[in-house]
Amino acid sequence: MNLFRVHAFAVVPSRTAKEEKKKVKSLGGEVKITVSLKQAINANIKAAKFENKARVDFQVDQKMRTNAVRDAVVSYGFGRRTRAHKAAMELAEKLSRAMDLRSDPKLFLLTAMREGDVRRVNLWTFPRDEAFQLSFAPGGPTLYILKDVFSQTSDLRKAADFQGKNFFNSFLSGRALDFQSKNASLAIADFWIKDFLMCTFGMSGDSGTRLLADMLRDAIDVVDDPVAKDQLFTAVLALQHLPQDRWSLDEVAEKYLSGGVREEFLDLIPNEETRTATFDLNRNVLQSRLRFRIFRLDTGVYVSSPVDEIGKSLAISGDGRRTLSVSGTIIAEKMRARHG
Amino acid sequence: MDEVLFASYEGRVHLLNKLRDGLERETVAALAGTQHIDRISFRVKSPKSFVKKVLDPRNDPPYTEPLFEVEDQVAGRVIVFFIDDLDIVKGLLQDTFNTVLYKHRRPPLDAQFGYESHHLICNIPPHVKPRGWNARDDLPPTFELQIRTIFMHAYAETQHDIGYKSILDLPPDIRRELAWVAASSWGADQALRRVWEWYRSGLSDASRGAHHLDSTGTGGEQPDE
Repeated sequence: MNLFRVHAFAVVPSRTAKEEKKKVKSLGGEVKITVSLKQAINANIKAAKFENKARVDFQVDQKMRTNAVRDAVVSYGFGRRTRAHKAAMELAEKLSRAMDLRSDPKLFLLTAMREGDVRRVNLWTFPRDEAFQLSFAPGGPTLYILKDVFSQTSDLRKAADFQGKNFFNSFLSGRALDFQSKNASLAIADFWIKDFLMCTFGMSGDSGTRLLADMLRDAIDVVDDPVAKDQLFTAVLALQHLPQDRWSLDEVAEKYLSGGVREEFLDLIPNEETRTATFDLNRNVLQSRLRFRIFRLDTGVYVSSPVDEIGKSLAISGDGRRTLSVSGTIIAEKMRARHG
Repeated sequence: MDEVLFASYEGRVHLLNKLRDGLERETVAALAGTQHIDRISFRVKSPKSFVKKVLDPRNDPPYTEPLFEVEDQVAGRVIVFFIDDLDIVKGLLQDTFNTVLYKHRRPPLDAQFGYESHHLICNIPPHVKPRGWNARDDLPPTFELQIRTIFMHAYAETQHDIGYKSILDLPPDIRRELAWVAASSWGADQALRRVWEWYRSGLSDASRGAHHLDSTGTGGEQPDE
């Protein structure tokens, strides 16, 4: 794709500035495209690996089918120069309003590429940094302190990627890069995707949780090795009790599974896009779908236990040949043709 | 043009069928435990219907890339018992699928009776896409959901077969019959809602009576209000 448009702004926060006169305007505008700038942008796109990032959908007004950020992105990609510039200014202003006064100024970069009637629009923020510059002159080396630099590699950088043709039902989804989206603070986690981009994750929390629960259950059913099964059971317990709320299936596999069991789990993912889809975990849904562990003993006895009772009233011991012991008071019993 | 469009559409029907299955499973899961659902069904538009829709001269503006633009290539329908269930189901579906458009389709004037249905256009979520979906650029990003009561559906299906597009071509007596059916369907929905509210209030009264029995130990009739 051919880069044909770049705008850059130094954006200052203004969300909690009470008086209009205290709001400082963001500075910037259209940037001349040089060879080195083109190379830098292509390098940033490559480093972002958008194909592995969370899918996000614009939250659209359901009567009018509009979203201010989507409309500005489409104008930036397809509009003539004046309209594109206006759209860029609107987005810079919106970013400023989304940042509160505790935030540092950022470099806000918009880029547009084209190939035929397809456009690719990328939005970037880079945090401000300070750097040294060492230069050599006949009189000796000089060290400069550069203050107006912005980091291309910081984990605080954010980006978004939207592609498509100019149809009413295109540019509804994209990919977002945000290393802070799983931050414990909701304000930080939601700033880029929800507050600025006006997007939500492509997969709802309940859908993602159901899929995760079903995959864990299916992997437990398929895997024979008890050690491998234990990894899955540990994952179930950890997901239910640890404070992290946002996950992707890829991250669950990365954090809790290894070796063959990880491959078994990943093989159950329906497609590549789902592997990296971020969702908000719903623990009630998770618990409702993974409530019991069921054991079949060599005596023909079946034991069904709530997950939380393992290690309490029900104990499993041994390595190669595992045995189960359980104690408790009988409060009900039934007769059936089949167990369960 | 028709044949080319027909063949182009038909060439991806196998993917649309898999998408249909995934969306139906997801909708059933999302509505699991919800009361008063009569049925959930999904369908893939036939190639013939697709071509007819695309070539309709009333399209304004006409489709440029219909394989991408037509949004009901896969569509689902949820039928519920009562009017009050429509909003409940709509809310659950909007929580599950990111919605880009919602329309309550109904006659424009209050004194008119005709087709009525609740329509959602939603983004296709990533996990229901079959493998190979994202490798193509001739597939839609959205699908359609309709929510109706049983009576709304009874009218909608029969008048659709007759051909709502040509309603002005129908004899006047037939048009009046259809309007009567639509009005009766609307009235039946209202009556059923009143019956259901009466039934629910009766259940509440019965439970208050039981509480009265527990607290006094004497039972007997409810005191006059």
